Formats: sequence, C-alpha cells, structure tokens
Amino acid sequence: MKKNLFLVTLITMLVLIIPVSAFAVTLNVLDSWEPEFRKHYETWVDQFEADHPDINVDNSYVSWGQYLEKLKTLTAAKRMPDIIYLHYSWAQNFIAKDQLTNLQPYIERDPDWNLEDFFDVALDGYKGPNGDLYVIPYDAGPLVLFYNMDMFEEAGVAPPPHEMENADSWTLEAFLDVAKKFTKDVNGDGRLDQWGVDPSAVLEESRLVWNLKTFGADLLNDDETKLMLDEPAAKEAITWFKELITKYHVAPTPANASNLDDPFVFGKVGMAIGGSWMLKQWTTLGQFDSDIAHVPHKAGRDPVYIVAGSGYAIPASSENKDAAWAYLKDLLSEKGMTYVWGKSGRGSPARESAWPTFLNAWTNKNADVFPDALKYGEYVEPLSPFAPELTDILNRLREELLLEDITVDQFVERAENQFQDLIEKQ
Amino acid sequence: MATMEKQERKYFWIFISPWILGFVLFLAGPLIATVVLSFSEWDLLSPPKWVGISNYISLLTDDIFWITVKNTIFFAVGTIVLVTVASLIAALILNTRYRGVSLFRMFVFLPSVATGVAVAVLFLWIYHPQFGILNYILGLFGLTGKAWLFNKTWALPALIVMRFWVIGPNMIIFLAALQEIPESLKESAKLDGATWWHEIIYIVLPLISPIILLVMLITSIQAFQVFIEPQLMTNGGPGHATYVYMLYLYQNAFEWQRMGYAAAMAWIYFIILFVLAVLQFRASRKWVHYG
Repeated sequence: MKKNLFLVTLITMLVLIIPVSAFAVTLNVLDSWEPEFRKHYETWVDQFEADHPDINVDNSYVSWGQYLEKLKTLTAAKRMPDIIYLHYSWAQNFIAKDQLTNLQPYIERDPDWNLEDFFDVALDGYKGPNGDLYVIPYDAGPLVLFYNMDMFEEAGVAPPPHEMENADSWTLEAFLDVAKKFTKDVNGDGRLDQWGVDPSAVLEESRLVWNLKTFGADLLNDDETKLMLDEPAAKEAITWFKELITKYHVAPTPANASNLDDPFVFGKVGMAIGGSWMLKQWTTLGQFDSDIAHVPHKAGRDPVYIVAGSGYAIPASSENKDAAWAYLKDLLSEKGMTYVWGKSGRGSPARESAWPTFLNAWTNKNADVFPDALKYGEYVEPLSPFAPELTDILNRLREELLLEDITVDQFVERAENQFQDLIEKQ
Repeated sequence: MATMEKQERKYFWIFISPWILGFVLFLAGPLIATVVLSFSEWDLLSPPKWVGISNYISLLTDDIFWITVKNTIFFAVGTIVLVTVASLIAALILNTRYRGVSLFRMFVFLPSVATGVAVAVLFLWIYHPQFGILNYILGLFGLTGKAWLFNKTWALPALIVMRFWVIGPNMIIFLAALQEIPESLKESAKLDGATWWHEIIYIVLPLISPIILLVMLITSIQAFQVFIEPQLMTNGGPGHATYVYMLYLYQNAFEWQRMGYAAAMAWIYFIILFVLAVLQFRASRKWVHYG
C-alpha cells in the first residue's frame, strides 16, 4: 500500500514538474530572409510557438545567392530541415526527384484552410505530375511597369495607366514613343546617358517570356520539351524588342549598362519591367519619385502578365511532417499571409484575402496594379530542372544579339541547337 | 639500439600522423571520390548513378567544352609570354644602379598584393567604355576606345593584359637570378666588344634559363586556372568569348549540379596540364642550360 502510494505520488509530481516543452517537437526551418524582414517574420513565429507549446521553431537563414547550393548539399547529406523555402525555378527539380512531401492530403484534410483563396496562377509551377500541390506559395508577383515620375513630368508626358480600363491605348508603339522622349544626352558630351527603358526589359530571363507572350509566342511547348523560338511570332517579338537597343537606342547597350547595377535606381532609365519583389527597391531607393503601371501590350492583343514567386515545402525526409504542416497551415493561412506579407508589404501575397492589407502598406503607390495583373497572369517558364542552364544559354545568345554579332535567325538557330544538346544531357 | 630505433619509429609516426590524416581526408580521399564521381551522374538530389565513360564521351562531343579549351589555351599562352617577358624586363631594369630603382621596384611589386577580386572590380572601371580611364587616355591621343569587355575580339586580350598587375613576384625571382650572374663574365664580354644586347642574348638569358623555365611553369599553372576575372567581369561573355575551362567546370558543378560531368572535366584537365608540363620539360632540353 505504502509502495503504491509512493509510486502514484512520484508520477503525479513528474507530470506536474516536467514542462510540456520537454516533449516538444523542434521544427528546423531553412529560409532566406534579409535581416530587416526577419524581425517582422519572427514575431509571427513567436506567436505560433506561444499558441503551440508542443512545437519549437528553429529558423536558419542563408543568403539567397548561396541558398540553393546549401539546400542541395543538405539533401545530399540527408540532413534536410523540416520546412524549406523554394524559389519557383527550383521547385520542379525537387518534385521530380521525390524530395518533397505531397501536401494535397493535408490541404484536403483542412477544407477551412481555403485553398480557393489563392490566385490560381500562383499555384501553377508547384504541382506534381498528378496535379497535387507540393509547395505552397506565399507570394505571386506579376511583372508590371515601374516608371520614373520625375522623368515623365519633365518631358510633359502623361504617366502610363494604372487602371485596367484605361490601358487600351498603352500599346508597344506608345511605349516606344515615350521611351524615345526620355532618351537623350543630358550632359552634352555627345553620348547618350539617359534612356527610356531598362535593358533588362529586353529579352532577359523572365522578361524574355513576357516579350514573347506579348506577341502571342511561347518560349517552350507545354511539356517543355521543345523550344518554340522559330515560330514567326517569336522572331517578330525578338526583333521588336532587340531594336529598342540596336535601332532606336532607347535602352542602354550591355556595355553602357555595365557597372550600373541598377540603371533604374540610378535614375538613368525612365521605365523598367519588374515583379512585385522589386517594389521596395525601385520605389524607395532612387532619388526620384516612382510608381507602378500596367505593362504595354501589342495593339490588337490583351496585355500579358508573367507571374513568378516562391513558397514553402516539407521535405519528404522530415520526421515531423504533422508539426511542419501545422506551422505551414498557420503561416500561410489568411491571417498569417495577411500579417507576414500583407502588413509588411514585403511580398505580393498569393492569397486574394491578404491583398487589402498589402495595398494599405503601399497607399502612396498604384499597388492595385498587382492584383489586377494577377487575374490575367500566366506563370513564368521554364520550370523544368534544366531551367538554370537554358537561362544561361539564352543570356549568352542575348548578349551576342544585342552586340549585333548575330542576327535574329542565328539567335534562334543556335538556341535550338544548344537546347537539343541540353536535352540530350538530361 | 633496437629499442631506440623502435622509439624513433614510433615518434615518427606520431608526428607525421596529423599530416597523413589531413592528406587522406582532404586530398587523397576526395581525389579518389572524384574519380568514381567522374563515372557517375549525380545532381545531389538523387543517389549517384554509375554511367561508365559516358561523361567523358559527352565532353568530347560538347561544343562548349572545346570552346573553353580553346579560350583557356589562348589565355594561357598570351599570359605566359606577356608575364614572363614583362617580369624579365622589369628585373633587368631593377638590376641596374640608376636612381629611383627601389621606387620602381615598389611600384611594380605593390599591385600584386591586392586580391584578384579587388583587381577585377578595379579593371571593370578601367575598361568601362564611357567612364573608364583607358578610353579617356586613348582619347587624349585622338584614338577611339572600345567597349573592351563587350567586344568578342578584344574581351579575352583585355583579360590577358590584366595579368601585368601580377608580374611583381616573378620579377623578384628573376632579379635574384640576375644578381647571381658573375660580373666578371659581363666585363669579359664588354672587353671583347659585346653590346648590352649581346650580353643579354649570350650571357644573361642562357645563365638564367632554368629560372625562365620555372617562371613559365608557375605562370602556366596559374594561367590555366584562370577563373576570377572571367567570372566577375564577363561571366564568360560576350557570348562565349571569355568562357574558360574553370568557369565551365564551376557552373556544371555548383550552378547546374552536374557533379559527375564536372568531375570528368576536372580529370581531363589534370591530364591536359600533366601532358603540357611534360612537353614543356622535354622542350626545355633544347634551350635550358644547367650548371
């Protein structure tokens, strides 16, 4: 009797004394946020931990440039964290190699989580071959037009439209006319030192996809096995945008733009095409007023908005999938996305419900262009594992094209040949 | 004695073991691993897959591979000639007793202290088509400068010329060798009517020929490993004009995660450099004079 009483007392004391956190799960999260944003982000993490005393969140941060290398090294070492950040261009590679957890069953288990609140286009690029989601996006950034308001005022030109209903007249021809007005020799030394358009708008990476789709062309076919640059519409698009530099000189050549890391921030160009992730850099760093507008469109065609973003995933090797899902469910919920990305204005949220808060963070800019654009957005390409190498091939050919070392036909032919070599290596 | 010998042997192994451990872990082990890797396909996301010699065959049929080989050889030959000749000329000047020679020595040697990255950033500005000092100086002489790093013909020579920056250490090596030449030989030659040119051709160069070989070998190894300048300044462009071997290897390994392909590239490079070193030594029998 005494022995039983002793055991019961001991067990009761242990239960009362040992804190719940001693049995807590520790989630390792690998992310890439800059220090400034981390403070805001971690207030959400702290709240999550307070609401879930059985889960500790251990955040690690790696700079964006080194992130993929670090992540792949951890994968090879079989030391993946429980939650990882993934850029759109990396996602399909990880999905194809079965490195990510299928999140669809988790999402379907929690219908209140409201997947319908996400922009449809934001989810493209994160699905597996079976159509299930493997990555949940936190942002979806359409490519829009950023412009230097001071240059427009000085030239006496009306600013480009930020409302969809007024965008009809904002054609490529109108865009070129405005660009010509801004292009000049400011200091009188006989050389151009101010241009209408940022050179990145001309055939560079995701902007190349925008250039092509504006003319009704594509970079790749649907399953990304064939390059589509030899179509007439593609060649027309490449020629038109190339001539911004080589014929009309309204954008700086690669040589003139060198050493100017960001010609738009330096006030050297009047307009630039960029995603919502450029919002802070292009509207606050320059010594001029700037704003956002719709991209120009080809006359007779609708405007095209290319969308890209990033998200979070749970590696297949995680031993804490349920806890990881609890964290993601919270972080990427309507409330979580509204607070973390909407309120801070850090990224254009992938959820429609978070947008009013995001727009409140940017009341002095025409940020309403973004949600309008998202409704008509198409996801960027390529998404296949060979994306970084194809980008390198196209960037090199772009350089040669803009230096007029090769013609458009040669650009297309060499791109096709090198793409074939690339496919054979896969 | 036997006990002492055993003890000495014991201490030998104790003291050498850290080096052996380091050698095995950080050199021999990874070397063996890359040999195996060169016969595999590995992207870090899935286990390595044995593919036999297909990486090597792919390389031999890879047009970009041959472009990088050609560019690297061009860069190396240009660098070897330029650096060897320039550092020798600088050493010959320093081997005189004129006023200001020590100042000249400092100006020639000091730039080599700067890191490659700092030098690359500096030369990005020197070569800038609009704001660069090179085109400004050319303009003073009525010449039109080029967009050096954006010109397919001039980009690689522009990177070669940058190597003038690091002639300092080689100059010091040559200077030490020049100072070993007995003055009596030069005086005898002068008495026989030799000019300064005859002195250099018939006395100086033959006597320092082993050092010339050494400098050429060191310079060629450094030149074949060129990476920082093309990566930071041109990214191998414009097009593939400055796309060198190490940059292509780096991109395959760390940007595109084609580890097996990159390992095969590394081993082919080792073989190329080994063969070149053997050829250099063989050719040196005709012009290097020992003793």
